[in-house]
Amino acid sequence: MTARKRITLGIWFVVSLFLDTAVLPRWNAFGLVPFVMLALSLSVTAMFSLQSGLVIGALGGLMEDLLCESMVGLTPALCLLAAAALHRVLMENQPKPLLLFLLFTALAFLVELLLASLSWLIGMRFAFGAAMVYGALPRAILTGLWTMAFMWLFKRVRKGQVDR
Amino acid sequence: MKNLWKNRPILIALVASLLFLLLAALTVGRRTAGRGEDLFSSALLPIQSGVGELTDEVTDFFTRVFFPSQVQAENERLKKTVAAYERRLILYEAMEQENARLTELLDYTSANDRFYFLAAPVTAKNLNPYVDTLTIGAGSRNGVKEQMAVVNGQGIVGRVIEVGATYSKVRTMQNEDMRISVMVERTRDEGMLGGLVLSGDTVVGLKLYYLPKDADIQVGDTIVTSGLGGIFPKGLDVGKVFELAAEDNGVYDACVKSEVDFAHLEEVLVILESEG
Repeated sequence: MTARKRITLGIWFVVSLFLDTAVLPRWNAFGLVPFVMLALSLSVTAMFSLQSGLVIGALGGLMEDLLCESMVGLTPALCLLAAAALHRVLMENQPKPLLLFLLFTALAFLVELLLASLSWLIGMRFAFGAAMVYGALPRAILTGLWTMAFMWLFKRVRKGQVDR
Repeated sequence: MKNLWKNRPILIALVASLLFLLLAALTVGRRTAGRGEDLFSSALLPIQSGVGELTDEVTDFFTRVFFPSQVQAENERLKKTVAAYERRLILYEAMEQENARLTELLDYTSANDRFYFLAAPVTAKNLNPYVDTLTIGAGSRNGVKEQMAVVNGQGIVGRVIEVGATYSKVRTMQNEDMRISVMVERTRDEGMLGGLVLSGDTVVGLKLYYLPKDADIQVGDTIVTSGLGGIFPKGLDVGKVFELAAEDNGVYDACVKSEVDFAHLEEVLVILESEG
């Protein structure tokens, strides 16, 4: 990975961290905000390498948990699983942008589903179906869009080199 | 390890995920942060706060631009809130001033504990310098009688000239007909105080008469009641000499300025009786 890529990713890593923990939670848009660190992890996995995506997902998720969550480890675990799943799919397929967007959205939705399920398991009680339809699905779509935006940004940095 | 990282990244991802999940399970329901976590969060907290505040500023700006009606509604709400606070502030300031005045009266009564005082509010005023009287909210039901002395924290206000059941009228020191027997506190020279020294229409002081010819009076001397005449008890502050009259004046000897702010009297004390 070149220095330019490292710097770009470093900057976006910090930006994503603060977007997730300080900026987006302040927007009262019915709680519909994208999971930016997941989007970054997925886009880096898709554009550069799984290793980079894993590092970003693990570090970013861990930092976000340390800053905001009482349960440390869940977010990085989910980011890692999503990145690994994406890598597995992309190893054998080269989906077109629309399918790629749907893939990102599906992965983000799975992450949301896992988050909700684990929260339920540890005792949180909420209307699961409604949370999935009115909360998790729109958030997953936003995360998918955000991932596509990251990919568009990283295209200029990548210069055709993919070490997948 | 490096080869494993390169060849089996998915395996590593899965193992790392399991470890993270294990960590998450261990940290469920804990009450206190670990030392490292505490240090990390504390270090990033100022930046987070700064970014958060910046976000609020940007959000506010766009809200003002794109949702002016929302801003207008908020503006109306804030105006009402400000008006409510202003009303409270006025009330608070009035209470604060009243508290200061009453404290001053209380200090005066403590310093003159040989008298029995009755505190009374000033309910009406007539500030014509030739018929200067004021009405206080205490009368015969409260033990007020004619000719009783009326004072406040700054000195003598006047004497009671008319008593009703619940009110009394007081002739103030600024009444042209008022006369008090006084003395210079420092030299004990006795004289008579009364009549106004005017500057245009404004009362600037009271005339001091009948001092002995060899009286050593100076500007700044304190004038107190002498006790002669039986209306005002001895030793009450009346005012200070602020000007000596010319020798060939032949009418009065000095000008005395009372400390009492007659234009802003709100509470007074009536001296009901004195010990001994």
